Amino acid sequence: MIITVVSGKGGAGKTSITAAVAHAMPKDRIVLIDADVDTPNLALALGLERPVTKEDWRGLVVAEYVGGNTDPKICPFGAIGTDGNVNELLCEGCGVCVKKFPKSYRLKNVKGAEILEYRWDNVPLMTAELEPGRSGSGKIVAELRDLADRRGKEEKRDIQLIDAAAGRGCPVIASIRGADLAILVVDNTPTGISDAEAVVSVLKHFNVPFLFLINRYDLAEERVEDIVNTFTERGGTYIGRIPYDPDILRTYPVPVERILKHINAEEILKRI
Amino acid sequence: MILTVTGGKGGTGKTSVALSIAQRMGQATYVDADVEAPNAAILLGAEMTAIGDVTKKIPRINEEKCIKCGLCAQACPVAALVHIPGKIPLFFEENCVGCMLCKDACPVGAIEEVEEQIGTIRQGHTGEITIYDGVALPGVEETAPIVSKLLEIALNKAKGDVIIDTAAGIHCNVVRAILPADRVAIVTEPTPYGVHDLEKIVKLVERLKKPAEIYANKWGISQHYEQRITEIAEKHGYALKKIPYSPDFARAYAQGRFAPLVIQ
Ligand code: SF4
Ligand code: SF4
Ligand code: SF4
Repeated sequence: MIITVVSGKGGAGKTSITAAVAHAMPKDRIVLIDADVDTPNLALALGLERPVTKEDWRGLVVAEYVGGNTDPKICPFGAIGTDGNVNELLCEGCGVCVKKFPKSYRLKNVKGAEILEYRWDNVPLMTAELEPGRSGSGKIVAELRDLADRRGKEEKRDIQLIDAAAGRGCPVIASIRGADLAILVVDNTPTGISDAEAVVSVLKHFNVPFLFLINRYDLAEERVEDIVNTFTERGGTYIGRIPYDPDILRTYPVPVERILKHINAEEILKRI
Repeated sequence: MILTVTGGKGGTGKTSVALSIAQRMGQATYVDADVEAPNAAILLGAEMTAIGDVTKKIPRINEEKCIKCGLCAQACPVAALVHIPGKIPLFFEENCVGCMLCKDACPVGAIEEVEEQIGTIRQGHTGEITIYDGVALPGVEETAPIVSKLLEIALNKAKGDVIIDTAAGIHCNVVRAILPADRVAIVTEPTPYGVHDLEKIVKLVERLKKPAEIYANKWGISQHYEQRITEIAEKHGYALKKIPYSPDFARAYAQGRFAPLVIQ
């Protein structure tokens, strides 16, 4: 069983809510994944300071120019400069340059991230910290999910709870693909709503059913009914609304009870 | 001058800060480079019109001409074409980078190049500000070409100062939006998460060798983390600008009214 918490917009409260949902789940059955590898915050939200293991992830491939014929135009990602050199921060490692100019370019593995494993009591929390500016976060998320699968098997844990990245591109898709259920956090702002709608189209694309909740509902209470209707029509199940509470942001670990009392956690548990 | 506004973590108020700076500049160009969640137009209530499509090249195999030799699959650098002996190769579009090496490899000219839309570039106005943004079509995973195209169009048309608002995070689309900048404005907030992420974005900006300053939003909510931000700014020699916390701003923002922030 794979449950992904998504929001589209950054700062919608996704990580705090993931931490709260984790508290509501059977602790002996879950593995946590923080897939927001750009800015992973779930460990912090749970009050964990130090990972139990930390390993370099060198699965990222980039090209290197060794001299000779070249043509910057062939790179689909604009990573090759006029002098033939590769800007590693833009290179996606597709290998087109190597195929075109096998003598001039070669692929090499570089460090793309650090993979971290925390323990929240006994619960494994897998995450990674992307090397600033590196691409390939989608691949790292896939790697984290493999690791989580392994931990799950070893320790007989059958539920994965994933805190997805913001946006709706490759790392988010890597967090949604294969999920059995999504929990959508709708931030009650015009931008939060439009971003959540964009994520719903991705969820539909991958046939993932979803529950949704509204964060900061009291900032514009007159809109709540509309939001509930919109996302219900799109197939979601409404599970609660959380008031605006700046304390949730500045306190750590996250004061989960202040979130949980507004969510119908029963509905989540029913699905597992 | 090109100023790129970025923030590591999402939700620090990056877009609001960027818009506030733009409004003070008078006639400015505003580029919303967060193509996975473009928000500036919504915040400003600007009408946006499409001014260009972003397309990607993909191959199409003419099944009547194909002799099932598999040379295209061998030529493909990313396994977007898979050949099973005796069959027409299968195409996995999500892997394809549009290089057309397959087309060059086909001995019988069975591969045709087709353009497929992956996003749209839009333009709009509010007061003296011209806004550009890009929208990825749902299900499009690789959004880098949309960011590149958006920057190319906007920077070409821009007159006067330019503000580029990046996506959240420290990934390659953020790099793309920082590269053309003369200066970088890093937006953060005095929370444990804000400080944690600030250190990473600072690393990225240093790696890209750009002069920068820090804009600390929601100033006044935590002395402890304000101290930490001050230390980080001093350590790197960045100017620190403070934006006092205002509950009214959060409310106005939620109700869809954008009021410029007070930057000290
Ligand atoms: S590997 Fe691909 S992205 Fe990297 S430089 Fe070569 S062609 Fe460009
Ligand atoms: S265009 Fe390039 S990446 Fe796409 S299928 Fe052809 S060879 Fe492969
Ligand atoms: S190279 Fe051309 S003929 Fe050969 S399998 Fe590919 S499309 Fe068919």
